[in-house]
Amino acid sequence: MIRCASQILMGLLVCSTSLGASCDPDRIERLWTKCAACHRLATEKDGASIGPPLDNIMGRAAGTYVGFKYSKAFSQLKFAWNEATLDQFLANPQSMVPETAMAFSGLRRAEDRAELIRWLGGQCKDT
Amino acid sequence: MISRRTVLTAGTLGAGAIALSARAATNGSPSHEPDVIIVGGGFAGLTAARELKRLGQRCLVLEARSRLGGRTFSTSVFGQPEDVGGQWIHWIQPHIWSEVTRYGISLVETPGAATPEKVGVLTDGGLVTQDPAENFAILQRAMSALCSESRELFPQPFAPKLDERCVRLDRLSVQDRLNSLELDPLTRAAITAYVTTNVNAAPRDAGLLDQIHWFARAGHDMERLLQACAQFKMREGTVRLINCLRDDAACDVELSCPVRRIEGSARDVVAISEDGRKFSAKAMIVALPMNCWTDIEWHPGIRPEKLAASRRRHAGSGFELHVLLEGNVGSYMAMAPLPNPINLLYTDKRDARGTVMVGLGTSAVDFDLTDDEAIAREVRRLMPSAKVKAAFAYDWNADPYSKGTWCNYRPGMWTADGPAMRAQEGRIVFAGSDTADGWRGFIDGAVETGLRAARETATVLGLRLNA
Repeated sequence: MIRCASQILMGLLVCSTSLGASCDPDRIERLWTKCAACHRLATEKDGASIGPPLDNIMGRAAGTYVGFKYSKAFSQLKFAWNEATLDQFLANPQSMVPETAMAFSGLRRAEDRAELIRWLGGQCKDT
Repeated sequence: MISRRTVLTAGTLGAGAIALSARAATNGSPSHEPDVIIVGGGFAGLTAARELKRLGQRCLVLEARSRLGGRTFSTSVFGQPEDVGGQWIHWIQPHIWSEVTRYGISLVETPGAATPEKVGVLTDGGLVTQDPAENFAILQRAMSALCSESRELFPQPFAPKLDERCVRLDRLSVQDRLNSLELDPLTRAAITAYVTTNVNAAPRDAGLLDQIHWFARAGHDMERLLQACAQFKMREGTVRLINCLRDDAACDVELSCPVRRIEGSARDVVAISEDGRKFSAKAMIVALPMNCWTDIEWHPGIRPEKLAASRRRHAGSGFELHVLLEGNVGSYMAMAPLPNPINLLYTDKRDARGTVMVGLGTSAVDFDLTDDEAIAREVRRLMPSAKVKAAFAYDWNADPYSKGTWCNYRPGMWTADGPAMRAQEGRIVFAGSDTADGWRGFIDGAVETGLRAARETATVLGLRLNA
């Protein structure tokens, strides 16, 4: 988690200083802890690969990361990831994608989802 | 909280993570038709595959997840290698200990379970801190009363005989027995918290007979039982044993391959995956959690008791929480009965990051496992000076290939459905920790059933076991 957070913070905070709102690195780190046991960044050699890598997710068609074998439920999705779809999914994955293999019942707090989505989308400016 | 500087400079902390992945499995088509299909790539399935390899049989393992290991996996948490799910083993668990010896697996101790310096019990009157010996003594007395029939009913815990006395007791829940005991408030809080953790459910939902069997497995010794549940872990993670088993099994593995239909005949068996592929063999081992049996279409149908038990689900339904605390908080264990969300909390490891505690709780309480503030509040009720830096929990109940945690039978389930749950269905043999006769719900139970399943499959195939 610490490692993954460092790379994302380096990659996203530094590269997107002209973008968006300030993000709280500590909060992002705590949130990423909840993802990093199963997900990693594509640029990492190490890290978990139970789920697909999550960086560059914005704009990607759901269920299409090359090299990851999705569940049938996910591979049949017909939308792209954006702030709205990610928010809906993170709030309750099983509700949005019944039969998803993802073992996560959701981030209940809207502000946590918003912060995580900003960060995944490279919208955090360095603080 | 971890400093920004630490975040930005901790790049090497997770370097071991790549070694944590279970050996890559080929996801192409198997090279030729296998002798045996094994549905489920946890410890039971892979143990069976290894044993059948010794008998000259080639196995194909079909695993729904993108990894092997079943209800346990090795990953990285708080920047360090960590196991999630079933991981604790003990030398009173003979099947897993044999594997430890066979593969030379080194172990680490969980200090909060092996050698706690203090034990906290959360009562209605507040947190009571005890000397461990004092705590174990009250737990031993209470557990001996709760499980008073253990010596009489289970003189051989690995060969339980379910007679009429068992049937009668199996109608009772753990809560029924707790209600009948005269206990002081401290003892009641401690034993209720403890057995709630064991069954990973509200005590009203768990069968008393199964809990009596737990006590018998540990030689009717409370401290030993506690240690059996949480004392030793594999130093290199459960993935080390998974990889050893897979290497020795030399089997084909199809990951991300949920099986949705199983067809059996007098000659062969066919598994049809979610994406429509068909796999056939002369025999099959189904090594899935019992809660997932109803996700498969069975043709012909299997025993109704199996499906009834699967629909009802075993009682185990909860969470395993990992909490990183600031500083070295010592070797500590705390227990709290429902409605507290965390029923057991203990020191797992201490290092430069601080102290990692493991917390166990049930789904009987609505507790947001992603709410760090709520988690910190609950941890502080058990450890008032604790400063929570981060928290992580894996939701096994939301995992469609687990649908729960470790197995504890509901009242009446063991004696009514247990024998049928273990029975063969033509050329199909059933394995998995949920069907173990001994340490059900533990890795030991999974290995036990893998050995049994291989033996039964050999009979199906007409093989000589000592060939």
